[in-house]
Amino acid sequence: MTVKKSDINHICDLSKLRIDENEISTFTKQISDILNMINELEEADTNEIKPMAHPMNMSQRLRKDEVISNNDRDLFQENAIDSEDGFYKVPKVID
Amino acid sequence: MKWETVIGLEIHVQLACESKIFSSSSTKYGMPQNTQASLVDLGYPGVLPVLNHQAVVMAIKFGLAVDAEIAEKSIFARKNYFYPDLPKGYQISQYELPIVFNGSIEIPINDKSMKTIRITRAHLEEDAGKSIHDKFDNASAIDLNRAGTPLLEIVSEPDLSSSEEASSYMQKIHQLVRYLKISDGNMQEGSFRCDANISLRPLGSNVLGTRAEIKNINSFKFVEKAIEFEVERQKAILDEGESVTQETRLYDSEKNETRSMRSKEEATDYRYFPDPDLLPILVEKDLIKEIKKELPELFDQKVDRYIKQYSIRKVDAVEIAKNIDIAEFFEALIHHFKENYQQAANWLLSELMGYLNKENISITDLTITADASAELLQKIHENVVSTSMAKIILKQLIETNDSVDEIIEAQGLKQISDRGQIEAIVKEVIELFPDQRDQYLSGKEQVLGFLIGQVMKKTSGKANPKMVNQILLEKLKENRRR
Repeated sequence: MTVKKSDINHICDLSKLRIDENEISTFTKQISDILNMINELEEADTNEIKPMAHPMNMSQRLRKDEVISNNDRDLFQENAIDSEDGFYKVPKVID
Repeated sequence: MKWETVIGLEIHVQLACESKIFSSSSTKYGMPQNTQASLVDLGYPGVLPVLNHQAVVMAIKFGLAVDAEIAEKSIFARKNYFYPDLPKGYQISQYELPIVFNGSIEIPINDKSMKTIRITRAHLEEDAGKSIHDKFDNASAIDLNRAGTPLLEIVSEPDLSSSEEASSYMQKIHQLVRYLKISDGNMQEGSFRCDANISLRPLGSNVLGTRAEIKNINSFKFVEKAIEFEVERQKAILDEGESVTQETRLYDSEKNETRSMRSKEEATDYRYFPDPDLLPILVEKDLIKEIKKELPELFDQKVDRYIKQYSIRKVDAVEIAKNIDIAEFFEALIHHFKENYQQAANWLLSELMGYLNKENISITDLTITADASAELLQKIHENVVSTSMAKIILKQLIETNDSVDEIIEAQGLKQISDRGQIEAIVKEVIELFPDQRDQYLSGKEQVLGFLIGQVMKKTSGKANPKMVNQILLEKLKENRRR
């Protein structure tokens, strides 16, 4: 399987990662290698095997619908880079 | 070329849970910013989501009500994208193996016939927070109170072929979730909103055209308008021989237009994968059975029962059952007032609903109890008060805390149904207006209305109108004989 330069740029775009132009060839090769390894796994016959969603053979424990959390806004906002008036402040985004 | 419209809707329903889908913070609407956002909602490292039992029960309830299959095993997936109101960088949703799939619902079209709309799936997911762009000059404000609010996303097949059908379907789903009490359905607060996928294809073709997705439509009227605008826009493009771009568009209700938001991501761009933090949900058959047993009476059954059990006219039964709050009020009303069910329906639909519409409030905003309403109906039924007096009493009942009897007493609104008393007044009126009497006797029957009016005036509207009419006719007849 071959990965194109445009694929790497697309993945970087989705992941919000910036990489140097000269790194692209490195990542192209590494991601191609990973995909090739996955392709090798495809050779195993899995026709009789059900897809696995989780490695543990257990099911989800459910929580009672109860409000327990308190308002810890001030505590949490101490960790924020910027906050004002109870809001978190982030660089302006207009969609 | 003739084009055929193809529409599928994705409806987001906020589930009426007390706490969030994966955390124990409150889902209450309108609280101060970020006071209901816990570590889990904020996506702190090392926290784990724990699924809300009630959200699962509500999803199953919906599934059963639309004859869908309930997945014995369903899983959560991460939908990855970056936006500041999604702190984790992914939304926990369901992709493969949703909890509900293969359902259908019947919607009324053209007032008469019904159409079956297939429901592809309904899956559980968390809502994102809210970004406010005009709060600060050079920053966006983020409120994460809504982050993690439980949602059920209901996806239809592209079975809808007009804006009216889309609106009808949306209303039907809205009615259903309100009946099931799995959502308050409040559209102003965003508890019920939809995205519409719209495409055109040559009439008769069975290949789907390229679609545009219109986001976040929050009213039945807007869904119609947005679709109408979008259909015209696509038609113009296709008629020019050009092709529609697959993209996400936003409906602007003020300008009544849709405009491009961003070119649509492909599902692969979201890089969905099973969320390792959450184990598969296994739904036991017993739980489904238990929920099935507790399913409430739904719209169609209610209408049928109103007609059969209470002998109410069909149009009225439909009108009452349309809104579960009205239906519940009606049932409480006739629990206390059993004299005449149709009379109760008439009063509810014309008097009480009239008041609600005039004041633009909903029945749940009223402090008036079904009990007090039944008492008032009883007074009308027994001719203690006239219907016009009852209007005044109703207004007082709603606006004060007084009882029906207190209001009647204080305002002197008791209807005069004493035969002797009315006879005396009628006699007086006939003597006062001999010209009108003669006109009537010479065949000008419309003068009767004038004479009735005079009697009502003399009694300040309190005379029983039926009796006034009857007695007046009798007295005039006597005059004729003389």
